[in-house]
Amino acid sequence: MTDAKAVVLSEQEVLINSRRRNLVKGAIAMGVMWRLPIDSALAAAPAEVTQMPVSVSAFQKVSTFLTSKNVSPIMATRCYDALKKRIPDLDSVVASLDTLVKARQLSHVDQYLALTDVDKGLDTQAKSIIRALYLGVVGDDEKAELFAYEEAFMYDPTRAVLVVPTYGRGPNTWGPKPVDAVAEVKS
Amino acid sequence: MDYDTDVLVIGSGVMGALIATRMAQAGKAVTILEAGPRVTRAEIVEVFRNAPIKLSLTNIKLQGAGSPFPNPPHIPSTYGDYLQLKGPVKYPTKYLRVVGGTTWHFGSALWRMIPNDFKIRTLYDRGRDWPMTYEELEPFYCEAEAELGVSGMDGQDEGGNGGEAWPPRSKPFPMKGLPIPYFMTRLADQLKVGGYNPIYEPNGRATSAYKERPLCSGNNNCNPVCPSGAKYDGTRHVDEAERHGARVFDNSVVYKIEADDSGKIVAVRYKKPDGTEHRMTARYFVLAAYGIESPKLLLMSTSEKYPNGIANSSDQVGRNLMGHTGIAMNVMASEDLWPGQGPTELLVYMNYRDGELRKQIPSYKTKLRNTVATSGLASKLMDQGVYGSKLDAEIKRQSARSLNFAIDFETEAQPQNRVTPSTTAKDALGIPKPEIYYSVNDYWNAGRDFGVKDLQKMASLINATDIKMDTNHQDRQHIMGTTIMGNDPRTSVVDKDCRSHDHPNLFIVGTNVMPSASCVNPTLTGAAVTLRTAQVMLREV
Ligand SMILES: Cc1cc2nc3c(=O)[nH]c(=O)nc-3n(C[C@H](O)[C@H](O)[C@H](O)COP(=O)(O)OP(=O)(O)OC[C@H]3O[C@@H](n4cnc5c(N)ncnc54)[C@H](O)[C@@H]3O)c2cc1C
Ligand code: SF4
Repeated sequence: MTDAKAVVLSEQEVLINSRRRNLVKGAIAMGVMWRLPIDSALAAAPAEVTQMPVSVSAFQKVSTFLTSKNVSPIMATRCYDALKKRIPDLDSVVASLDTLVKARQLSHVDQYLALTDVDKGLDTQAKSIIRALYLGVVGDDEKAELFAYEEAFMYDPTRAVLVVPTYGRGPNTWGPKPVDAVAEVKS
Repeated sequence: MDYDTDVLVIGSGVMGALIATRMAQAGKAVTILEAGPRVTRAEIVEVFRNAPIKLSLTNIKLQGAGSPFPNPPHIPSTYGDYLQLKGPVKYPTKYLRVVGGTTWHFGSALWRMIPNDFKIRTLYDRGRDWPMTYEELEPFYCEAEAELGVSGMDGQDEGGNGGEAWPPRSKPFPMKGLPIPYFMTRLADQLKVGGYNPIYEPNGRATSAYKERPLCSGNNNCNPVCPSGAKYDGTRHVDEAERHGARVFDNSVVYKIEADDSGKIVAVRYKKPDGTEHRMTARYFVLAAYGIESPKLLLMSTSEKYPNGIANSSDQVGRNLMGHTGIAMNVMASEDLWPGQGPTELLVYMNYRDGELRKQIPSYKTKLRNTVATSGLASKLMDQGVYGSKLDAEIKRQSARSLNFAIDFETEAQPQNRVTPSTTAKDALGIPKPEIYYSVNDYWNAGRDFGVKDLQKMASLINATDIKMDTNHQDRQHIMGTTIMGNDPRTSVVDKDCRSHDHPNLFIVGTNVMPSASCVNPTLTGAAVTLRTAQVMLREV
């Protein structure tokens, strides 16, 4: 199970360490090795939470509501930056959603999804935000932009059993029936 | 006469690198000319992690974004529009042009063929016989397994009948098999009731420290790149050849092979990315540029004396292209099985690998994909409008239950299925792109119809729902047959030593020399034949 078990080569150490990295640290370490558009986004991400602009913290709050998950300041920043290129009025979308949540006193995204009278345009944008946070990617065309991989929320429901590809748990860590496999899944 | 090198090898994939290693170990001066650049594992893994599209083997629309491997103008990637696909059936094969070659992103299933695969014309009136028997190749299978570091289960009947160990082997696997994921043992139990005999695939993943390779740690990323190097790839032998003094010239695209009037090959010409042209001479030449580029190069190498190209007096160069053109089925299992733990493949069924039925139905292998499907499922669910707690619940349920069964059929050598240099399309160096004509015959169609019923039976044994069949000629990335081996120079390109019938100092190695395809992945067979060729060459070089 331990990472140490998987580390045999020094080359591997780089890889395994990168698994433990947080987003910003990784950006600095890896950005030097391989130049990708993502690196500039990463480099621009604030290292200190306190630097987060008001627009991003508003986005963080709304995205936490929309996903019922802990959207870290860094994830929020990177997702916001990527989405903003596709949704120029992102700030007003966020403000409208925030107003709606307050006005209807919603405490869970399922309550939002049950509403029947949400403005269609606003609803589409809300779902773009959810989609981005789940996939870690904004857009599905040639210019699609990745802002999170291992941290993408789509991996959360199966994280206990399945690895995120490239991040193995170490040799011989599979075989017995996964404990989680018996968990009830309500649908 | 002075030569630049004793042995000149074209291509640094597993086949070229194996020969180079053997020659260099014996003290020969060896030079490898490799079209592509050197890449490092850390770079490829990092590009993969940062890529928005991760389905690098299938995503046609976003191909540029989909492959973590380089795509420079002098060797355009096969993920783009490089291959000129003609003919009724597409053959979108995805070989790589980098130092180490295509095994960088291969699945590493490393199978032996069975004795009857070598004589299918005699036994079943299909395809072509080999000019050698299984018994002749067997010692080289052992060598190839040792070189590539194969792990596997001793004692299995790989013939698919659930019987004695088969095919015969004179040595055990170099490494014990991998632990079996729960999904596979459970599914095997369910399918056993219907007479299906599970086989755990031999593969190139280390299960104990092997040479410099670490143990497989279940990253489930064997395609398109193993992050740790637990999985074999051609760089292992490139490195070994270099340690024994071989020289590797990367970014060197060979575009012409020159022969003198006596038939002897004297030199090759190659271009660098800047367009500069170079020439190199050698005493012996080995063409190891894999199944599309090798025949293309031979056919491009025309001259007054050889108007049909090099090694082509039989007119068979580029012909008889085979593959494991397949079909697939997606289903939802009736209980949580959790595919995706451990490496990406392992469990297969080959109940119809051999027997009289082969007169009507091609031999085939059915494999269970063991990939983490989360990302595809998540985006599909959101496309369907599933969000909120239901999204999490469904990602979990479907990840635990979505299964993909895929069949690989043996195909017959047919002369009309062929590779030729395009007369119109050229790459950035002005070298013709390969044109590929491919089709399947009624034998394949009969296999497809039989296979569909067989898959449906498997689905019913596990009470599966949401059954979706794809019978659309899936390409399985196994190029075979384009420089075929045979005893008769009139109907084949090389003899059983892989020596060109036309040129005594030219050897052609790789899966492209295989006269029949069997239903199993071909690389181990290609490697065994290559090691046999190395032995022949060592006696005379
Ligand atoms: C996605 C995928 C999965 C696969 N999975 C499996 C599997 O599980 N099991 C299995 O048995 N097989 C598998 N295969 C097939 C396997 O990868 C090949 O059989 C194997 O790589 C062939 O080795 P090679 O050395 O002949 O060719 P390659 O590895 O392709 O090497 C050929 C080299 O020649 C170079 N070259 C080409 N043209 C020139 C030129 N003109 N001048 C100089 N150099 C040149 C290329 O750049 C390349 O590096 C898979 C293939 C793919 C694409
Ligand atoms: S499962 Fe992981 S460590 Fe094992 S071969 Fe595949 S990618 Fe490499």
